[in-house]
Amino acid sequence: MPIKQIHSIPAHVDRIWNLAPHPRLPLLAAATSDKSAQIYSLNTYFPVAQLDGNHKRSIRSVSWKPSSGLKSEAVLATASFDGSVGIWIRDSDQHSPNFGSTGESGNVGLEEWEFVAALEGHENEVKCVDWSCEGTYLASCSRDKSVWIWEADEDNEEFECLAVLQDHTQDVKHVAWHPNEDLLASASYDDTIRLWREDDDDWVCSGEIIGHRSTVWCIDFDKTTTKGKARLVSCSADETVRVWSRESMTGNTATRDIPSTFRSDPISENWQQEAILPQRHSGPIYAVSWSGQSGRIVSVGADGLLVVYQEVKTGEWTVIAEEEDAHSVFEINTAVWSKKWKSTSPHREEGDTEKDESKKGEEEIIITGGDDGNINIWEVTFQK
Amino acid sequence: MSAILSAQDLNDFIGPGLACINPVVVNRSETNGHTEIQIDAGGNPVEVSVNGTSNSATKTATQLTPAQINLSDCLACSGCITSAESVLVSLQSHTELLSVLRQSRGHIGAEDGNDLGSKRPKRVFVASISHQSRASLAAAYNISVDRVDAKLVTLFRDILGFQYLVGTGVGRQISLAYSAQEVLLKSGKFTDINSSSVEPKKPVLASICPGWICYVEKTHPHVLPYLSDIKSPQQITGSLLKRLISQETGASADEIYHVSVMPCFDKKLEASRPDFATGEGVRDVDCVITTKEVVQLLIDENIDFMSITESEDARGGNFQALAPKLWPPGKSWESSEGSSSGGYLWHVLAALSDEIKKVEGKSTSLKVIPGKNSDMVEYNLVVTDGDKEEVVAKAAQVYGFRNIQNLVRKLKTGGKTGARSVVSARAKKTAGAATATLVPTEYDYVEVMACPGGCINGGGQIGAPTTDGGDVFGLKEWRDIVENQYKSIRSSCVERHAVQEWVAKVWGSETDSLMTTSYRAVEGLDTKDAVPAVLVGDKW
Repeated sequence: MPIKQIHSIPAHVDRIWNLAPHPRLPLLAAATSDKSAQIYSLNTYFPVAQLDGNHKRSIRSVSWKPSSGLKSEAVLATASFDGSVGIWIRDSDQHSPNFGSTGESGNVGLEEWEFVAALEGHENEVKCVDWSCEGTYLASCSRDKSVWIWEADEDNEEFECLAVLQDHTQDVKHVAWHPNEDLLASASYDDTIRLWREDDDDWVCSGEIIGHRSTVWCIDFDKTTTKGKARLVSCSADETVRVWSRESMTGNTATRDIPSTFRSDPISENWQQEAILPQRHSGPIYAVSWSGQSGRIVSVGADGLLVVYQEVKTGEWTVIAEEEDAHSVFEINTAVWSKKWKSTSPHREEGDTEKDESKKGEEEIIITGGDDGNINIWEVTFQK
Repeated sequence: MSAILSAQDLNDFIGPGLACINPVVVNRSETNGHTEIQIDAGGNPVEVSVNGTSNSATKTATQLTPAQINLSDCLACSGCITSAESVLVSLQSHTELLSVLRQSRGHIGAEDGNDLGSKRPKRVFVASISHQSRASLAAAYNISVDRVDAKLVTLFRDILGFQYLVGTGVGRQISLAYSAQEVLLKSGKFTDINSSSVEPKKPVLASICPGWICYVEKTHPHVLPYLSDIKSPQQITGSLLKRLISQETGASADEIYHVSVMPCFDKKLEASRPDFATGEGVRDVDCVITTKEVVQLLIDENIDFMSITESEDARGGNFQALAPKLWPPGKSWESSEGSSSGGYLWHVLAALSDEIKKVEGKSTSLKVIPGKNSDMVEYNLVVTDGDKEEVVAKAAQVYGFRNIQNLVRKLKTGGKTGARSVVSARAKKTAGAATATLVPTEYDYVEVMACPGGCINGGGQIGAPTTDGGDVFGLKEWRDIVENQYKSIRSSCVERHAVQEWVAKVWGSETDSLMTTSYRAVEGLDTKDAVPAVLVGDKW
């Protein structure tokens, strides 16, 4: 199989719930059941900060704000079983320019992170958080069956609740924003995926995807689609990974000046199943990730299997790599694609990344986290 | 529950909790020792005490009754935000009302025949109807509110056999007048008003929405001190009706059965609050039915609303014959200026404006600043002096769960948000923005309602008509139609002194029992820390 493990971080004694690489910086955030979140350098794979002391129970999910407005500020949202969402900001004044190296000397926690806001409102366990493409909105979902949409101010300190969406009939497991539209998708224990859009000043359910026969654990949008198009991948306890595409949209077609009251076409989206990916898993599939670089999909689950799929032609997928027992005997909870950072140049400046984009275009890694507390880094050998 | 409108139609309707934990809380008896639950030969569940042996002769069996949840349980439990609809239905519903009515008629029959029937006299049936319910019926049947009123008179008096029927207008006028008085005292602006002993406390938050009250008591006790002490129109109407009708007919309070027709399911919870009971099992409001339950009642009783005769009494606008004798003429069915949720904010600002004029001799004008969404609006009372504008009073309308979230978060002073000291400086920078940002501590009054759109869009209102071809109206369009029906009801202004005089006449000087109530935090299991046993070790 053309996949190799290039590194393993023995990160925690407890289970790793979720991993999130920063979209622009060589930073990886990890959510764990020890009530803290860790930040690792993707240059060195060393820890650079530990975010703890504020959540009372496990952190289930982490999400980076895509653009924080201020260049040096990294903003992380954490979703916890204690019912709250935490907002953390790296202290820009204290952060050293060559922070990527801080881990090398083993000085864990050299970076100063500040807990700036707690978003309370969910009745119980928050399962997932995700920032919208421009960082305008933050979505959270919970065992209380609701999806909340928050709007952040530019300082990330004041949050306004814009919507409490209660259409799901069960525990909501995952939320994900479209890569360039303000379109939110949510996946639930009620076996459905719902889509949400803003209609005037209200957020409404614009679509429902029915097809999975068990809990939908994770969803991810296709990040390579052209403007106006949308596809998403979902994985479920029914042991399938499915790709869905938006066939049509109605509503909101007239100019925004016309109040929706006078519109005869309420906002709605029609989504159809495009493919069921080759079935490899035996057991619930907990995570999928759709690469923005190569367009590949990775899935992991309770069976410890790591599967990489590639689209041969639209709607037709093939398995290009497979790894059994990717976290030995343990279940794998999370998998995510990331750009491969040069571990040989720890003193890289953040600003350099743009220039390097072209030549590193094909280099990407898969990062997985499991019940063993390890973070494993994988590379798919590129097939010409 | 009636399928005309379901909670799903309102995207930020407060939903019930996942599972009610109340039936699981059992009083264990110490004396029985180890027990088991078994099913006996008749299929009934029994609790069997096991006295250390397997000898069946030593076992004693107790018949078990099914666990039941009543409204008081829901009020006392912090499990759900509001109670489950099924619980409400079993205790206060149109079927419950019909069965009470039948029972009462049954009594008359028994007494006519022989002495076997109870000696208890026939109950006195009294109904009070909210303005929002009348507007909803008018919209649903596409007729004017006047015609709805005329039909309601016939329905309640002639068909259902009610002796009294009033609108909640009088209760509302009293509630408005005293709410304004409360804000004047608590605003801290007019220290020379009556008692100076009242401590300024800003903002005063409207407390007539029972969904909002329930939510605060169960999840945000830090907000309790800000709640208005004044009772809602429903409860003031209830207190007045029970006392006046009792005086008039000689019937005791428990012989008077008061039904309130409301746009809201949570009004049932309000009516069951222990604060509004005047004795064992005697409440100011005995049964609350929602507007859509009225429709359900008509369907169940096979009554066609459109063919109900329109009472002449009502057509002339004269409802006086159906009200208690001391009831102020006219006011009962009239509406008030301002929002379709009772016009609290409007009336409070009017009173503040009057007082500023009286005390400081300044004229004020009203400035409306829209917020992020239509359910969040700020109102400023402004004194203009040349080209200088001074804001002398501020109020806001905050409707819907999402906006309530922002209100309670911002009232949590010293909370976890805004940990940095620079927050206030930064906040000022954005204060001049075109849309209003919620700053609760600057407000004198906030009209808070749990439903988006307020009471006119309450969960108990009749939904938009549908045909086979789909929805005839969009949700917002339908809301506007109901709103316009509401606005068509003639409104009268609240003359505070006239209201106070009338209250003094019928109630005496002890007005607190008519006017005020209190709220308390509901302590409960901290469900956030309780991990359900079945889920331990499972992925979730």
